[in-house]
Amino acid sequence: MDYVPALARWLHFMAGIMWIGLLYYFNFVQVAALKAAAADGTAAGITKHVAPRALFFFRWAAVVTWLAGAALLSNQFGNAFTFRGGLAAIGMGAWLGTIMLINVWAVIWPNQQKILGLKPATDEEKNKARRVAFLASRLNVMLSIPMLFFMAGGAHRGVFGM
Amino acid sequence: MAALATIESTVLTDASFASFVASDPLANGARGSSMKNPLDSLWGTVISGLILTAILYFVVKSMLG
Repeated sequence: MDYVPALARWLHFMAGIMWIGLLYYFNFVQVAALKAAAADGTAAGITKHVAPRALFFFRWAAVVTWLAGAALLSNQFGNAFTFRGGLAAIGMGAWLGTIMLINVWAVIWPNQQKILGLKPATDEEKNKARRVAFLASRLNVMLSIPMLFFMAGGAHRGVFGM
Repeated sequence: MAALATIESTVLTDASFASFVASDPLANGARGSSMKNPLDSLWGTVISGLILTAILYFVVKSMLG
C-alpha cells in the first residue's frame, strides 16, 4: 500500500504548485498588469478572459492540495494538527495551509465574485471588495513563505537541531 | 433650566475635548496616518513573511524540544 502516500504526495505537489503558482501570478504579475492595462483601456481583457479562468484553477487547486495533504498525513493527521509526535514542523505548515485555504474560499472568492460582476454589487461594494480581496491575497502570499518553509522542514528536521 | 445647564456643560466638555484632541498629534492620529500597511507592497509582504518564518521557526523548535 505504498502507492497511496506516493500518489497523495505527487498530487499534493502538483496541485500545490498550481495553487501557489497562481497566487504568485496574481500578486507579482496581475496586480501591476491591471494597473497598466486600466491606463490604456485594455483591463477588460484580463478581467473578462484571464482572471475568471485563473481563479477557477486557483480555488480548486487549493482544495485538491489540502485533501491530498490530509491523505498524505493519513493517521498522523491529528498529531500534526496538535503538534505532537515530532510533527510540529509539518503541523505548522498544515495549519498555515489550512488558514490560506479558508482565506481563499471565505474571503478572496466571495469578494472576487463581486469585482468580476458574477454577484450583484454597487460601485461602493465593489471598491470595498477590491481592497479586501487584495489584502487577503497579499496575506496568503505572506503566509505562503513560512508555510513552504515548514512543509519542506517536515522532511529536513536537521534544521530544527534534531 | 437645569436641563439647559446640563446640555451647555456637555457642549463645553465636548468642545474642550475636541480642542485637546486637535492639539495632541498622537491622539489625533497624526502619527498613525504616516504608517503604511506592509501588505500594500510586494517587498513589505515578502519581508513580513520572512519575519513570520523566523518567529515560527523558534516556536516549532521549542515544541520539538
